[in-house]
Amino acid sequence: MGLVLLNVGIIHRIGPHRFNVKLARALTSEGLVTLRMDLSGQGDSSAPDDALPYDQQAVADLQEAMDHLQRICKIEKFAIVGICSGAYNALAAALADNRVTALWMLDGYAYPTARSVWNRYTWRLREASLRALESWTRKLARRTVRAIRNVTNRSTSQELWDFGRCAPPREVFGRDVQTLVDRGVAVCFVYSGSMRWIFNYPEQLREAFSEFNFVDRAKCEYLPQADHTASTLATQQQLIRSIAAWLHDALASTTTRSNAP
Amino acid sequence: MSRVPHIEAELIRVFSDVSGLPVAEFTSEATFADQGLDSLVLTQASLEIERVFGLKLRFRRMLEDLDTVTRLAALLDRELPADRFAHTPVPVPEPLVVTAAPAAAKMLVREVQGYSFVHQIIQLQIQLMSQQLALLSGNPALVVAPSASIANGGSEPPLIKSPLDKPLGAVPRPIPQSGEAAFADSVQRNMEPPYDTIDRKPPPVCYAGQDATHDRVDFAMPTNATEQAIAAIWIRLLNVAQVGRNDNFFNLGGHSLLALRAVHEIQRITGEKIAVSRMIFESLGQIATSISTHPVKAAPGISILANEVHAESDAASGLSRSLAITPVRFGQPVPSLYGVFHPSGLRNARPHAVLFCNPFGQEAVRIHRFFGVLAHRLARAGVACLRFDYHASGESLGDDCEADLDRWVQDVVAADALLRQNAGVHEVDWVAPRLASALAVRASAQAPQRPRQLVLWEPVVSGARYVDHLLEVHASVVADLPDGGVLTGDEEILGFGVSRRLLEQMRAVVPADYQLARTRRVTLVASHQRATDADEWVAALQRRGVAVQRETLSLDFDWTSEEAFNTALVPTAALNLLEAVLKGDQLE
Repeated sequence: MGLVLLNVGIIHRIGPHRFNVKLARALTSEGLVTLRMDLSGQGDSSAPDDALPYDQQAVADLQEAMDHLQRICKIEKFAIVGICSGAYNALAAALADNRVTALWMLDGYAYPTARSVWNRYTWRLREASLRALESWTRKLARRTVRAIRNVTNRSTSQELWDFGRCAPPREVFGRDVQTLVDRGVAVCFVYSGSMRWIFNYPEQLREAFSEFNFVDRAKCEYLPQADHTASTLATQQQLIRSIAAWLHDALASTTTRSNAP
Repeated sequence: MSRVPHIEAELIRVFSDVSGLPVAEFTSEATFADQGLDSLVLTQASLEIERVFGLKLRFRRMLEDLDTVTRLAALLDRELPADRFAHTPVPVPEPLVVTAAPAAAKMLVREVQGYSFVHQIIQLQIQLMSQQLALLSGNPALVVAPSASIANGGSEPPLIKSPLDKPLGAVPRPIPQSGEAAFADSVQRNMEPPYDTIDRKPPPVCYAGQDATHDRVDFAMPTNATEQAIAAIWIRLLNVAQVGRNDNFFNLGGHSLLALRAVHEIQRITGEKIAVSRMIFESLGQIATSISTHPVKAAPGISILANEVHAESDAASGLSRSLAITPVRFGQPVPSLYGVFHPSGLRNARPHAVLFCNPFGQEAVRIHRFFGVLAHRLARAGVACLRFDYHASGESLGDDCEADLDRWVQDVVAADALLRQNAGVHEVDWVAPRLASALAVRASAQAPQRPRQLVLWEPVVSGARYVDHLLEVHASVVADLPDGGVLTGDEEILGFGVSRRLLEQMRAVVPADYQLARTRRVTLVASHQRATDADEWVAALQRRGVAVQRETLSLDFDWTSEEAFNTALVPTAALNLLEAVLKGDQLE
């Protein structure tokens, strides 16, 4: 298996705080082939004349990266690790290409539940003191009812967004992940504390997508003290250890399936 | 009287200005998310809130605990000094009221005071009426130009500015004593969309050497009506002379606020709303490709704008369209250093090359895109370039904590030698921002061949102050981490491990170090204040016969920021200045 690491936001291929470099070198020391890349138009990569819209081009770029590793290293199965915008692109590439057998995403798409909304409001209460309690008391009923109604309705138009990118409707996302899991892709969702106003307890993914059985087969971690770009060495080390362990399990699982009679 | 309503009004004005949405559409109690404000807009808003209120605020809090105008206002009410937004009467321009306003209006103006939102609307309308009466009476005086919406007779509430703060939008201007014509002129000059009043448009900035259309890598003219229309929009907003289909908005000097405007304009012309993030990641051609141009709704707008951009054939100029960059590994005894070599076009190769020296840590990440764009432009102009990473940084081998300034000085020397060899030149200019300036002056004294020119951009002359600044920024970031974050206890700055030795080396940088620069010319690029701080060592250099050229450049560029949107990724002023300084064959 080979690992592809892609851009996080606008940061070039070294990753935030050189995280991609540190991760790649840690995994390489354990024998995993890794490729860090700049997508078209980012870092040192130029965009081709016939470039597709960004979302589509990112998938094409990742497929080219896999083609390249396949040619030079004779690797046919790939894992993709994506953070933030990288998570979105990684998911899209996994859906588009059967060579992706493992997908790790930090702070990708997230979907609220009634409990996550409740957590959000109660945090506000704990942190805001009695003064806020006055206004909170006046407005809580209205907002909570509205929020819970929105969540329980689970409207297909409900979307979350970041930097202008809209999350797909909940049902679409659920079906996509189910497709990957049914295909045998090892999927790991990780959410940092930076997402806590949207994702804020370990069981949230399971509860948000309870009708899909991928919740029992995909891994989900909530790391409340981690942040979006791994701004501390401790977070970087924690994530690297987590990814290494997960990849080890994913690789073992892939090997088992390959060797099965 | 509580000042909260006024704070709320001011906040609504801020959000209206940065988002382009009418003030009337904002609700104090709905969350920003519910009102359609994304993180891009909120980032801009946080900057504007800092400017207006003096309170630094991370935009993510507006997605979290401060997600409504009401909550924000409550925070500001708690945090601001008591005298800010205190209830004081709004001063009424006496000449306007006394000489022109009828008695009734005069009485009404003096009755309507205070910072209530409604009162201010009424007051502004009365002022407008008074202006009109003043002109009709033939005795104009100093007037406050009305907002575009009122001048147009529109229904939008006007922008409200606190008299205690700098106005964001139209600036009151005196008009000459010539009655109606002057008033009309004033209205016309102020009758711009709110966001246009932020940028006073200077003459278009041409790229240095933009007499040819092929100075930029992979430049290609827009090829269809949609591309031309978008190019016309970008030309206006970016104030550049030309935009190609392979250009990226941010690489041309755009920033998030301009991107917002571009998105609105593109939607107005084409009917398609695109995500703002696409302006960061995509070229003009990519954006145009995805826009479906329905002839009925888009054609008129597109055809008008398309006519403004003359499509020219991409005439062969003798230059290769694509100057491929080459990754290189170098260094002794092990090639542990990584670099990217930009060869010059063969037919126009200049006799000198440019070496880019990175600043430290997060500043190097921040400047990467800028260096890439500048290197491409110089290479297209015939100047070969080399960008590289020091040992234990970027792509080069070594863990963060192995970073060592003494070794980095040697890395600069090695990179210089490599560039001379690869480019086949005898003269090399070094570009060295921030801490790299200190490295460059030391390396210049050790290099077998001195650099022709040292371009020192906002040099770090007091290492102690610099380290304190970095630690302060780091502490601020850590304080904002979820649940206080987790730290290993090792030394680190903004996600990069640092050794005690490195910190000591950095603290040891002093102004006197700069007197040792060995070069023909030092070009000091700095804000006015920083340039003044350099007087002593500049004088010392000049006494040694080193030419010193000073370029004043004041940029709103956050060197340590991780955010994509709060400052221009590739500030045009810096790009054009450095290109001009580095492209010349002869030092003036």
